[in-house]
Amino acid sequence: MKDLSNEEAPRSGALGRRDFLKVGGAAGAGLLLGSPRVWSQEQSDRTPPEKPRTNVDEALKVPRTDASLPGRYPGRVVEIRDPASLVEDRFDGEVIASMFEKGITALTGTDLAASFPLFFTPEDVVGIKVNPVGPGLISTRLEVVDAIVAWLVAGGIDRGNIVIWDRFEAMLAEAGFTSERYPGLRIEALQTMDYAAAAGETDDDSGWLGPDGRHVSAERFDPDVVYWADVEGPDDKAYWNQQVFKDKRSPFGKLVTRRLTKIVNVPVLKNTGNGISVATKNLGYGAICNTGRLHKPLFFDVCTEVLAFPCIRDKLVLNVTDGLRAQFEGGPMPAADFAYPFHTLFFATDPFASDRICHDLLVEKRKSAGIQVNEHPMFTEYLRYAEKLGLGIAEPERIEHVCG
Amino acid sequence: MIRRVGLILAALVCLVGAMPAIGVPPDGWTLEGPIRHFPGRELYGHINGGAERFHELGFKELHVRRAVRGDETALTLETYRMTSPEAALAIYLLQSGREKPVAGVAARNSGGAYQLSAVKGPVFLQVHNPAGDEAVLPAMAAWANAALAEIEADPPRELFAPLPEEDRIGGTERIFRGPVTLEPIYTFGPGDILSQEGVLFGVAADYRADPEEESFTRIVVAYPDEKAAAAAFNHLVEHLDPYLEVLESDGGRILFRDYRDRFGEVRRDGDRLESRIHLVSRP
Repeated sequence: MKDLSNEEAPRSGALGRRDFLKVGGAAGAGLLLGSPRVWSQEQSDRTPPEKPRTNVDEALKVPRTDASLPGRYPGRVVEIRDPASLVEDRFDGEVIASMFEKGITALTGTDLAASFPLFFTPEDVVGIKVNPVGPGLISTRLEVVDAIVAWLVAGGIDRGNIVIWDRFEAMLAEAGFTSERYPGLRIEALQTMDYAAAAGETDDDSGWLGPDGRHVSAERFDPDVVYWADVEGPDDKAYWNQQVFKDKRSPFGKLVTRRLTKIVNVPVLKNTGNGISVATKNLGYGAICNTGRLHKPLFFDVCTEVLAFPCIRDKLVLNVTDGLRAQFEGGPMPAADFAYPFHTLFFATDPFASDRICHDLLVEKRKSAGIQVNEHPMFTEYLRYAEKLGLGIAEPERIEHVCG
Repeated sequence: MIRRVGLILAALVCLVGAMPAIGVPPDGWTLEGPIRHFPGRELYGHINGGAERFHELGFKELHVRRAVRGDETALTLETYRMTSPEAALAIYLLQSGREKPVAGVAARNSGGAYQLSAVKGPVFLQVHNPAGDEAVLPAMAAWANAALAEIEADPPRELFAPLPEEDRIGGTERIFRGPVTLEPIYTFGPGDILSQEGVLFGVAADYRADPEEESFTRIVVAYPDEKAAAAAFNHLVEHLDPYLEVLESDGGRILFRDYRDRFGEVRRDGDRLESRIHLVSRP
């Protein structure tokens, strides 16, 4: 089972999902021009509605703190490249650890040990948000997480106060984030789902639906910290099983709102359509549930608005983007034809500046690969939106891009 | 009598068509766990993003099977049955880009040690090898072939005929059927801006006359008749993306400059809309 939360493709046509299937069936008869009956039926519904309202204003009312995004180094993005990090499909942990040290040093201007207190105290409970999609091919490398963990432990944080987390538990294990691999650390997902029920292997809903009529993971989400958008999820069990809630609420995980005091975000460098699915999407669609309903009407805006909530805005201290192997096309699904060794890690406290750099890099990569790129400004509007909200820097000329 | 036999045959074809193409994994590999089945909308219960593009193109069902070897290496076979061979080809082209065929695979294919994609009739399939071990590639090809042998031969119709072959850059052909699958190519405006309604296939490809020149893209959508094409053109003009600056417009042609200072035009020709975008010079 793979992540559906932060990896679904953007947008959809005016037809609903059921209608797509209905129409697809008719088209399957082999009509290039389609069925005039169906075609004419749908003529009146071609332009999408206005964007739904959200409660981002509530988040923005909460006073900022010294730790609020864009963090200690607004607009500063460090890029460290070392071809020895990935050779003949083998990742070198020592080289990667060295890249990590160089990256932090270049970001802060001081060494690893002296950098630690710039972000953490030994009492912190630190969540390392990974992106375990596409295990083996395009997911957060364990070696990058190893380097982060070593730094945190060296700074005095107890291993039991380090949590490697993602939204879906099965994906963490598939990508190698297990208790055996990380003894003493906590490996946690925000939610479970019943994969057998999702795959139609069973009609038994007890694996995900509790006797109280709520999803068994509902308790893991904070009813008091909710991203609300005026759009409901579909009223069916498959969606509910996967998304925990199906109304207009997307609660944040209690792990994020109540237990973690700091977050280190470790996304992977990859595209999603013409946009990217990197730092802001890893948290925007990974820290809340009930996200399936949001892709079509709000998509990238969610990446900005979810990060405006204090539980992210004031806890996210560092973004380390794993570009050791990147993917420039075919995403968000893992696509081997478009995955390539890039030997690079990015470091930033400002996830929006980091995403801007990553977006531009992937656009250039796609062009160099001979792919005609849709460079419409809408694919980066969410970054400019974040800048308007004071969450980050989006304009390239204001970003300090340091290459090492 | 003949009609009755025909009906029985048709029913059998339907039954065979509904059978999952899972093949038998090669020697040394053992199937593990049940076949996982994701019909229709339940694709959202499996796919790692991009489900909308499958649905827009025409998706029926997905079967997923896993096979393991003694050393715990695992392969996963995914067979996506689409509503037509054209839809299967469309998703294959979207996922494969410039094709890198693997020798010995008995269908149009592309891939390598991590992932092998193939298309035959209405089925798009992928074999995944998370370990990426090159030595496993023959096993991936063998399992793909076993599954492909179970799929009916039903080649797609020639959709690219409206696109001139001269100066076309091979490997850039794309098929789209609505806003999700048009989006990687260009943004003319919001929603179903080319009025495809999830039914009409459109095609696109890149062109270049001189290797030193920048390429441009042709896009063609054919409609049921001239009236429908005219309605689609009018809809496009009325809802044209605000980032496109209109330079000329009449009843059958619109010329614009885009956000990259490139030119584009859309022209209605009978029952078709033909577009050229990414033009360096004003046509």
